[in-house]
Amino acid sequence: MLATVLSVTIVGLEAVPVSVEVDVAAGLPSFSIVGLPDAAVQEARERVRAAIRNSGFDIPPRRIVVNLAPGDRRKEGPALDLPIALAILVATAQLPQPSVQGYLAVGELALDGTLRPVPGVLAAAHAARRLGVRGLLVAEANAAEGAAAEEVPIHGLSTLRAVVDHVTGRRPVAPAGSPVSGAPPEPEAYVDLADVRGQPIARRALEVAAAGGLNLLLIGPPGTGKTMLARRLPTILPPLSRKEAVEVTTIYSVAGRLAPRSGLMWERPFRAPHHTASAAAMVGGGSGPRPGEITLAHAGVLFLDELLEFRVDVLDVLRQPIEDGAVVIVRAGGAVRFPARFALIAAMNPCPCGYRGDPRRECVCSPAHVQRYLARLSGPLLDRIDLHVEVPRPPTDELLAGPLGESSLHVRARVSAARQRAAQRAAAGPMPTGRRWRGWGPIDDAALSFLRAAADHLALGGRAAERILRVGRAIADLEASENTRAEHIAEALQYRVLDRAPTRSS
Amino acid sequence: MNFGTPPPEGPGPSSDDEVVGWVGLSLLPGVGPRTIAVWIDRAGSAGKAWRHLPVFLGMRAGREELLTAWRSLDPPAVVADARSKGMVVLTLGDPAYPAALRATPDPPPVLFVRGAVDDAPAVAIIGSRRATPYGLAAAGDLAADLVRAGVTVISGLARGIDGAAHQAALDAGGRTIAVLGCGADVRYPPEHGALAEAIAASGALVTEFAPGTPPRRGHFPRRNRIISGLAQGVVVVEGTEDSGALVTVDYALEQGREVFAVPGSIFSRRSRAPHELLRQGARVVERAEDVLHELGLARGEPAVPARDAGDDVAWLLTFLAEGPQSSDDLVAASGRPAAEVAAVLSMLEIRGLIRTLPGQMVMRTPMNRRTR
Repeated sequence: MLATVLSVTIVGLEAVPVSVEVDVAAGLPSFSIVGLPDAAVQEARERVRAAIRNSGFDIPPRRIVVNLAPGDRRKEGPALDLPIALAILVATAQLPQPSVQGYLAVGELALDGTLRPVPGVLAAAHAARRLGVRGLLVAEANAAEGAAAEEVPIHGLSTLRAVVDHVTGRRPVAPAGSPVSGAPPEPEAYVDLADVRGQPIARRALEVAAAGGLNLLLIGPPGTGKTMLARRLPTILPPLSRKEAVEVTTIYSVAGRLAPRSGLMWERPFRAPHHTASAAAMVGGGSGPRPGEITLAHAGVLFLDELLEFRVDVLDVLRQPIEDGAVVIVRAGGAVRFPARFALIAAMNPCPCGYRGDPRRECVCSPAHVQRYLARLSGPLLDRIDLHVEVPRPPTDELLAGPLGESSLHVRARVSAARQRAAQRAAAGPMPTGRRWRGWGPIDDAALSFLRAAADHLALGGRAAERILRVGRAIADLEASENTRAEHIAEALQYRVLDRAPTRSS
Repeated sequence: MNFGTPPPEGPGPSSDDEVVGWVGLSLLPGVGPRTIAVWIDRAGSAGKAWRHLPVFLGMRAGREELLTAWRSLDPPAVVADARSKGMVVLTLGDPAYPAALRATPDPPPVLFVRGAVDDAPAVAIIGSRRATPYGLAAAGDLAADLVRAGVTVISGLARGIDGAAHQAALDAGGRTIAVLGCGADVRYPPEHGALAEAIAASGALVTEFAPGTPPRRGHFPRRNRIISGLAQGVVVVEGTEDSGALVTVDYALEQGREVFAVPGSIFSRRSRAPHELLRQGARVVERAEDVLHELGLARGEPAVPARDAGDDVAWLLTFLAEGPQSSDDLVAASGRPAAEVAAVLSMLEIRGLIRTLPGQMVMRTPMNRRTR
């Protein structure tokens, strides 16, 4: 007898429909799975067999063939356990075919029949809506996540037996409600810009970077609070939109990094990969590609501490995603596109010993050393960093007794207003191409002539000038100014320390 | 010394025979200018002294080695090589030899010069190769102001202070002379290749080493006596206790030159040399006038007045009157928003009124350098 149950497999961030067909026929007892299953799917045989038996059903000693269609696409992971088990029950007449008709099922089975959560349920919910199914059958721990999509009825079930009872109508389970949206962030994880005392210039640069969606490099001796500043960037970015929250949650769900029973993620991610990270860890990889750090930082912040310690090839692969806001990973099985629109914030020491420019501790690096060190900043990556500021050591008494800084809430309000202005301008006029600054809103003649003077004085290149205009525009938006004015360009220039040649002829 | 004028009965001072003789004698290992002077005196000319060297060697210790060297050396080739590379070969017998250097106890018998040397007033600025931004700024400002007062700036083309002094002198349109520890055709230090060319074009590269001589550790202390010998005063900007600048100072004192020192930060190890010199009685240098007055070179012109900074930004300069400050400190001290302070800093910087240093530090440009 033949049976079919609908399920999905995850490709990139998307759930692709998979039709699970089971044929049970006379012959020597066997159990085989065809249709490009990976190792985890192959192992489903053992889990499914035990789960069915331990749930009070039985597996007849006959020839069982499971086919996963379409047959040309690799199927991954244990999420197909549940649909395989259901299809076998139908094929062995322990469950009527109409009862599973129109359901989409994903879930891993324990040997005792318990249903376990799997990654990618939010993506499955999207697919379920596209396919027009009547409901999605998932593990209880996945129900909140699936319901967050608010797409189709999500039935969270604890065991294989509960699934059968639900579909046969013997003990139906109501669809899970959408979890409360916009839950406040966990208090213990909460960080605030108010924690940063002093350092007004670096704070301001952080605000400008947040307002313009710009990339920032912090340069300073060890222990001056570069990491502390970076961690606070997410707290001054505008709150996630619902669309962004769904994107972020989908990414974390597919990556298997979502806590069980959690709904949508409303906090902007903050990722700080260690400098030993490989290129694959950074942009994503694997045979069925998994999202890397830059995708996990999507809509949030990617922090690269000790920037110059990262391998050059790792930094080089970041360039394209920074430009495109996405990364495309090509594998034999096809190309996968992961979103990666993040704010890049990097930190580095000013010289190999770390104390260059520190008034209290002498730098022991020779000029040649410093130059070689700075030369490691790959030009193309540096070109994509809009602001670079120094973070000097604040006086100790300021750290201990100085007034608390302005709180993230206030700064975020200004940043949100600035972003709104930028969005309105973009909506009104011709869209900025992202390359040509002339599309970036009106600018005063005085601002342009100031930039020209600065370019002469500091021997700026075209790319640097373009970045300065971007930074100036973000400042103008913060100041609610229609035009970019000379003082905005002037301020922007202060956040470009690396444009100043490192002391001539030394 | 008796070689202030060329030997009267010899051939003309610039005749090739004389030049070749001087070069040959100077290339002999272990033979100093005093011995050479004695030989030339006895022979009547450098050319003769060289050609008849075995006669003058007498029973001198190391005679055999000197004879070997004499046979193997080819001074005409050295002179031809130098000239083909655009160098002038100046000997002690040549009236064009710098008078100040000639008057020192141990003048090099031969100088290879790219460019031109003269007897204009000159001051040496020397210091650490690993200079701090402060030291580089001080050396640069001093050099620029000295050349504006018509003084030639002399240094050693090393990294750090030397390079900053040369560069600033060139930038200010003045004359500067670099004294090398290698052949004038050897690029050392390599990153100063362009700087050396610029110096040769408008000032001079000077060395006592024949073309092609590589830089050696032992060359540099000897080179220092030429630096101080060419100058009327020596200014030490930065250096540690064992700095080569102190070698130059020893020569300067021996040669009767005035010694100056620029004070530095008490936190920096590179202030040890200048501070030790100050303790011993060197003159404090805060600005070029300190040097010019002491050496009697001051022209008494008023410094160029600064271009008006404008009231909208001038307030910030008052916070920099006491010395460099970090931008963060300026925000705290002025009570103005970081955004405004940042904007004003850039405006002042573009006008040349301030400059930025590593560590977010900002310093005022000295009064008479504000020419933009």
